[in-house]
Amino acid sequence: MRRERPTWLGGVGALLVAVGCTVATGLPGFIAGTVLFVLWYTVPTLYTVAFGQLVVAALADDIGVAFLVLLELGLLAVLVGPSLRQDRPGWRIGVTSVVAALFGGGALAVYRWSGRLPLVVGGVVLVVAVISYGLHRYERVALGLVEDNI
Amino acid sequence: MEVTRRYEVGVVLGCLLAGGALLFDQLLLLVGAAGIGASLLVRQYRFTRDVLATADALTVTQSMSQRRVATDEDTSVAVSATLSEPSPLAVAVEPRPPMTATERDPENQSFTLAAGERDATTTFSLRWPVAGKFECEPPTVTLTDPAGLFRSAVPMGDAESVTVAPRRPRALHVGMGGESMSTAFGEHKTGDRGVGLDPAEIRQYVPGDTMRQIDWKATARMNTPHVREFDAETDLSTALVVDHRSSMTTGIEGETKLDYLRHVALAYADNARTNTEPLSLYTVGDAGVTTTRQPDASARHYTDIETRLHDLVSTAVENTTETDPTTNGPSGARAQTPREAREMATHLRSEDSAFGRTLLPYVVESERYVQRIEGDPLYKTVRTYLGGVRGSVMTVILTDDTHRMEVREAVRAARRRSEHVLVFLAPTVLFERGGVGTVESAYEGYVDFEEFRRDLTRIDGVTALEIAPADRIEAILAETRRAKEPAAGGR
Repeated sequence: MRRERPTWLGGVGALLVAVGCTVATGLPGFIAGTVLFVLWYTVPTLYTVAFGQLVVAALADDIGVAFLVLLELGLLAVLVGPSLRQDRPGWRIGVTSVVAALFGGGALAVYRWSGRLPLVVGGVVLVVAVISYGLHRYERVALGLVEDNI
Repeated sequence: MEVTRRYEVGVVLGCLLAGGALLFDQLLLLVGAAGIGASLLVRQYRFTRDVLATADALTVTQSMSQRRVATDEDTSVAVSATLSEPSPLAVAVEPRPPMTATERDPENQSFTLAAGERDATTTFSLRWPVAGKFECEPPTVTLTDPAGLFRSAVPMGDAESVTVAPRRPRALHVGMGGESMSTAFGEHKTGDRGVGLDPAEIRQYVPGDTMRQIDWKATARMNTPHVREFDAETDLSTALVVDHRSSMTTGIEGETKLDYLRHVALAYADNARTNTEPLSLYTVGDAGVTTTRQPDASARHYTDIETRLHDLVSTAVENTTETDPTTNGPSGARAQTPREAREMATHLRSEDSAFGRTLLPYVVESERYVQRIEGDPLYKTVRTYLGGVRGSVMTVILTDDTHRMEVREAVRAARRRSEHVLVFLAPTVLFERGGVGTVESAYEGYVDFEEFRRDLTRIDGVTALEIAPADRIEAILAETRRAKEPAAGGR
C-alpha cells in the first residue's frame, strides 16, 4: 500500500507528534500517538497527516500554543519526509514548508480578520484549485498539446 | 497531465479536512488541509518543470524497414529514445501502429527508460493484411513522477507512413521451355507486304511490279529501278477467351493462375485500345459461358472489357446439375435450369418479405451464366462463339493445363475459325506452393507440362506459351541444374 519508503525526517516527525500527544494528554495521547506512528510506517504519508491533524484538533483544547506549534511542526516533518527520497530534497522541503506556512498562516490571519470560517475554507480551496489548474494548463501549452481553436 | 489515484486520495483527504473544519468549526483542520494542498501543489509544480525539461532533452526516432509493402507482408519498425541528460521521471515509450496492422510481437513494442537511464531501443514487426496508405503515429511518451502522483502523455518523434499494395502478379514470365520472350502482348506482325501507309523496305524492281510502286527518288539515287513496299494493313480482330474455372485458383492469394492470366488479358485489351483494334471477350466458368462481348473498337467497349477482366473471379463448381431431382428437402427445391432460376427470382422479387430478400441474391447469382454448358465448357464456347466472328481473327486462349484434352480440342476448334491461335498456359506445378514435395518432382511436373505445350505448338498456326511467376520457374530450373552438375562431373 505504501509507495514511498520511510525516511528519518518523517520518523522524527511522527515520533515528535506521538511523544507530544502523550506528554500533553497522557493515555489518550499515547494511544493516538502510537496509532499515528504505525500509520506513518504502513500507509501513504497523506493519510498519516490527515489522521494526525484530526488528533491535534481533538487535543487542541487541552494543550497550550507551544505544544500545538510543536505538534504541527511534527506533522509538517511527516508531510515533507518523502522529499528526502526524491530529487532536490532541500528545495522540496523548503518550498513545501513555506507554502504550507503561507496557506496555514494566511488562513489563520483571514479568520482573525473576518471571523467567518466558510470564507476562509472557500478561499483556501479556491486558491489551491486555481494554482493547480494553472499549472496543468501551463504544462499543456508548453508541450504544444493545446489546439488553437480560433 | 493526468493525475493518479494517489493524487485523488490526497485531494479527497484535503477536502475532508476542509469540510471537517466547516462542520466542526475547527480551524486547525483547515490548517491540515492547507498543508496537504501545499504538498500536492509543490509536487505538481516540480513535476511540470521536470516534464518540460525531459521533453526538451528527449529525442524519439521511429523508422520502418520498408515504405512500400505488399499485403500480408511484414515490416520491422525500430523506435529509439535518447535523453541528452538524465531525467528524474520514468519515461515509457509506446509506438502507435495503425489499427489495421497486425502486431507480430506486441511484447516487444513498448519500452521504459527508468529514472537515470539515457537511451533505449526496440524493434518489432508489423503485418499488413489490408491494402492502402497507413501511418504509424508518433510514439506516445508517458512521463511518470517517482512518487506516482502524476503522469503526462506526449506524442514525440515523427510519423512514418507505409503504402500497402495489394498482391498482384510480379516478375511475370512468359515464354517457352523456361526461356522468356520479350514481345509485347498483342503485337502481331502479318509478315505480308501490300498496300498500306507504313514503309517497310525498298527493293530492286522485278518484272511484275507496277509503275506505281516505283520509288523514283531511290531509283535516281541508285541508278536502277527500285520499288518501295509498305506493310499490309489488315482488319484483324482479337478474340480473348479467358478460362476462370475453379482450377484457376491455384496459387497464393493475389498471385493465382487467374491473376497472371488476367495480367496478360489486360495487356491485350490495352494494346487493342492503343491500336483501335476490334476486340472480343469470352469468359468461361465451370458451368458455362459467363461473358460474351462481340468485337468492337469503341472506347466504351474497351473499358467494359477491362472492367470485366478486373472483376473476374474463379467460379466454384456448382453442384446444381449434380443434384438428384428426386431428393426432397431444401436441395430438391433448387433451380435446375436458368429459366427456373429466373422464374424463382421473379417470384421472390414480388414477395416483399425477409424470406424473399434473403433468398433473392442466391437465385440472381445463378443468372451469372450467359449460357450453361454441361461438360467441356471451354471447347464448346470456342466452337459456339468464335464461329460467329467475322473477318480475320486472332484467338488468344488463356487457360491452364488442368483440362488438357479439352484445351487441345478447343485450340483445334479455334484454329479452324481464326488466322492464328495463341495459347497462354499456366502450369499448375509452378503455382502449387505447398504441394511440391521435392525439386525433382516439380521438375518432372514441369517437363510433363512442357510436353503438353509443345504438343499444342505442333498444330499449324498455333503458338503456345507458358505463363508463370519468374522466380518460381527460375528456382526450379536452377535447382535442377545444380542437382545435375555433380552427377555430370563424376562421369
